[in-house]
Amino acid sequence: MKHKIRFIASVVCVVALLVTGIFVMLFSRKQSTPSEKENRMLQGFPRLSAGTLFSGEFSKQFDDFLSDNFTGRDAMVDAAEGTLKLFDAVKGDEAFEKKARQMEQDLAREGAAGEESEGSQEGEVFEEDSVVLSASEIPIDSRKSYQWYVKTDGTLSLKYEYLKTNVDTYAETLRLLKSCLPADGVIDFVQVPLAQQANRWRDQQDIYSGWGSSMEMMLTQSLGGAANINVYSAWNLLAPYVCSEPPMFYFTDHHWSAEAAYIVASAMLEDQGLPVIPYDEYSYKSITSSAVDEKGRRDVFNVLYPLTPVHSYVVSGGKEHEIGLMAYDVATYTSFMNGSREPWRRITTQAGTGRRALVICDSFGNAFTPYLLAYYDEVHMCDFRYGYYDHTAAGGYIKDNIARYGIDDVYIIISSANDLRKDNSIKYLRKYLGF
Amino acid sequence: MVFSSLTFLLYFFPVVLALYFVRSGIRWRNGVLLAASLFFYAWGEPTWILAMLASALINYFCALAMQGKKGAARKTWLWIGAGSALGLLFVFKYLSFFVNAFLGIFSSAVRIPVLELPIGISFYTFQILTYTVDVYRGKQKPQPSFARLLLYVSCFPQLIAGPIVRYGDISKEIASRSVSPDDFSAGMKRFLVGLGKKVLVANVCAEIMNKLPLAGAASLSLGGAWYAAAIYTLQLYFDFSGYSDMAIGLGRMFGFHYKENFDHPYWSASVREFWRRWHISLGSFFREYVYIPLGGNREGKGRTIRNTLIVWGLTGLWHGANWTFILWGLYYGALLTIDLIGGRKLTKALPGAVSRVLTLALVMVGWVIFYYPTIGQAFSHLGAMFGFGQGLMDENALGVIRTYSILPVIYFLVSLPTGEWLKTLTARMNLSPRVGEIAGALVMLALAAYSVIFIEGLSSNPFIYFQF
Repeated sequence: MKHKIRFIASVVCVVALLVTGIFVMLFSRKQSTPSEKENRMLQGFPRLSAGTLFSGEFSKQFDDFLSDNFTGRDAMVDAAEGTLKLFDAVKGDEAFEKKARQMEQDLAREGAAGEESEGSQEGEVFEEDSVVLSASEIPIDSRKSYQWYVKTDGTLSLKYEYLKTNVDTYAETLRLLKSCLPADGVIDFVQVPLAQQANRWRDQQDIYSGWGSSMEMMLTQSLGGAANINVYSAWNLLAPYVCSEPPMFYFTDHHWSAEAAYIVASAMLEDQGLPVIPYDEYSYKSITSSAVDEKGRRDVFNVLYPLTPVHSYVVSGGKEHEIGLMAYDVATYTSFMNGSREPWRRITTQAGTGRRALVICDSFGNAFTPYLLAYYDEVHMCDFRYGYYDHTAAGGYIKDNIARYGIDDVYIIISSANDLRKDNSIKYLRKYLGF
Repeated sequence: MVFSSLTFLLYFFPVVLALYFVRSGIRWRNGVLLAASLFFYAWGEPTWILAMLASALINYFCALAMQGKKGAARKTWLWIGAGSALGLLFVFKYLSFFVNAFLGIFSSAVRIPVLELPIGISFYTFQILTYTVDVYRGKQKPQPSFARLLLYVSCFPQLIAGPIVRYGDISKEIASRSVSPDDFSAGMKRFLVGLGKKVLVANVCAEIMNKLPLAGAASLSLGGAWYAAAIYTLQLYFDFSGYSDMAIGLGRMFGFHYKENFDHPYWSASVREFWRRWHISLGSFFREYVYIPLGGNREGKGRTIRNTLIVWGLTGLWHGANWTFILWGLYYGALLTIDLIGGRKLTKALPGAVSRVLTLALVMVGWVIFYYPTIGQAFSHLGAMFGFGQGLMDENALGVIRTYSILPVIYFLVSLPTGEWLKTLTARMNLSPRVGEIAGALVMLALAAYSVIFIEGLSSNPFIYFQF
């Protein structure tokens, strides 16, 4: 043997790979669990049946399961990114930061900002009870807006802050997006709290009596009365229902419920002068979650059956592949819209209204979109989060597809995980739009 | 299944190796390899494995039927075998393209649906063809065992994305082979190098591509367009040659010696040389089974040009049923025709460095056509590369370039024959063989560990050549 050491290293490699495999299989979580960091459900161990095996679903889900449950996953993500950063010539995304700074300087020069300019940066997350205000003080100023809880003693506990520079950048993005739509086209925007935020209030009603957000007010101001761009406050719309039944947010999952999505969708449709279909006029399949939360609660996913026949397609690489509108046999949030699909989703209906809508969203859009199907001939969906939108596979940037498909109205549904403090909303949405 | 997936690396690969070496008989080892190969294919294509089995079975019987026959009868079996394999490929890959293109001429709104393409069909079809045609030509004897023929067709290291292994190259090894410890470790080293090329380089290039503005963007500048073309050029090489390295390495670990598929193609001084270094097994297939039967270069310049254009049109079409692939093939047909009618003399007159840079630029132009799904997008990008875009440099591309300027340079250097240069250099330093041995072993272990980290840490991408 010429290369004894190399042979030993080869055998060590093979054994190490197998041991790692056994370790992952023994110690990984077999049930699907939510990842707050990635705002999605991590894949659980797939269900083995003849159906899943021959459809290829089992193999795909098994690959995803290994990837999602790999021991030390976060550390590996950090290690890979850290390694690449070693070779960075400059800090990443400088172009976007430069653009944000430029915009801010322009505003300052025009006197619109009227305040000392700061670099674009992520808003602060407050420690619990670190800032306490009286409930009569509206938490908004010329530079920042906030999200807060109202405590039972009448004080406000600030949770997040939103920088005006970021809000202005976002308003500019919305104006650019509006310029791609027909004159009567509407943009409706809503930012939705995470289930953890809502259930904190619901489960601790001895401490909390409400919540609020002034970001929406600041965004409306930044839009400067731009026509047909409407900002909705999910905090206000859902506040009356957070502590009542049915739950507005899930317990085993970080998403909002179908009922909460219906309330927001109804408010938007009503403002457009459309007749709102009562919630009970829809038929639903009620699916009870297999998972339970730490209090032993299960969720019920009410997945609607559309009122007219629909066809749902994933559009990728110039091809359309039909998939089920919903996954009625899945006991997780993925049942809504059959999960988030990249890069582009097209749903055709027989609504006969002659209008087409686009939902730009993270996974929170999946519970919301079903309530648009009765109002549009086509509903399109795309996910604006980093890495989700591949403009080559999607056939162009979002603005190109708005023109291609003749989109009339756009709904932007984002969760707090991707809110106006985050790169996804501030940088990548604009990039994927194609501006 | 994908070589760079955790399922393959953590379970399939070590378990198959263990089963393979647990006994030494060729029947056992072939059996393990065949079962593993069918499982490997069925993992991703549980339904379309039947297409592969059917194609192999028909050609198995056709080859046996040729035995003892001559003339027209022998040819009939060739046509049945080759026709069935090519027919299957045509139905899955080209039927909807040609029918829809035909309907489009008459402005018909009717379209037939595009079928889902069985993975690897282009590769295994060509492998089956080499078997049937070589048996017809009398170069090979028909394989009496269907299991052995199926092992040749489906052997998992080269099943999905090549290299295209000719039956004659491994027929003896299917019947009898051995694996020495040195073979095993050399195979492992080659596999890890390939894995590193895919995971540490090609996937990173894919990440960069995803951040760049491309055709259709509001701002595609000259600098941004060339940078994107360069990154895709690197991605394609490391993706495909990485897969070939893994296939060759795995083959060697199981006792097969596959021929090389790449030889530092970006170090070519002419387009002709590039194609002697890039996807060698495909070039060799078309030369042996299409170009030479058409007459090759023996019937005058006119016929040679015709044959060249046919071969390159087919090469483009082999990559996919899309006008951009056909255009890409014809682009090379045109370049090689120019080379034939006098360009070769011009290339030879240029200084070496200039001809290498020029060749690389021509190859990059080709990859731009190859990349896009529509000719319009490809020309939009090419337009920007030649000054018809949005200025010299756009802000988005500049941001990406400033972030990723060091890595592409390193990647480019790695794509050149730097390994061989380093070997020459270290040979001159008279290092102890043990030092080299230890360093090599450490690099192998580091490659394995880093590859797993990058598979988990970066969003993975399927191999580009899987789509063909």
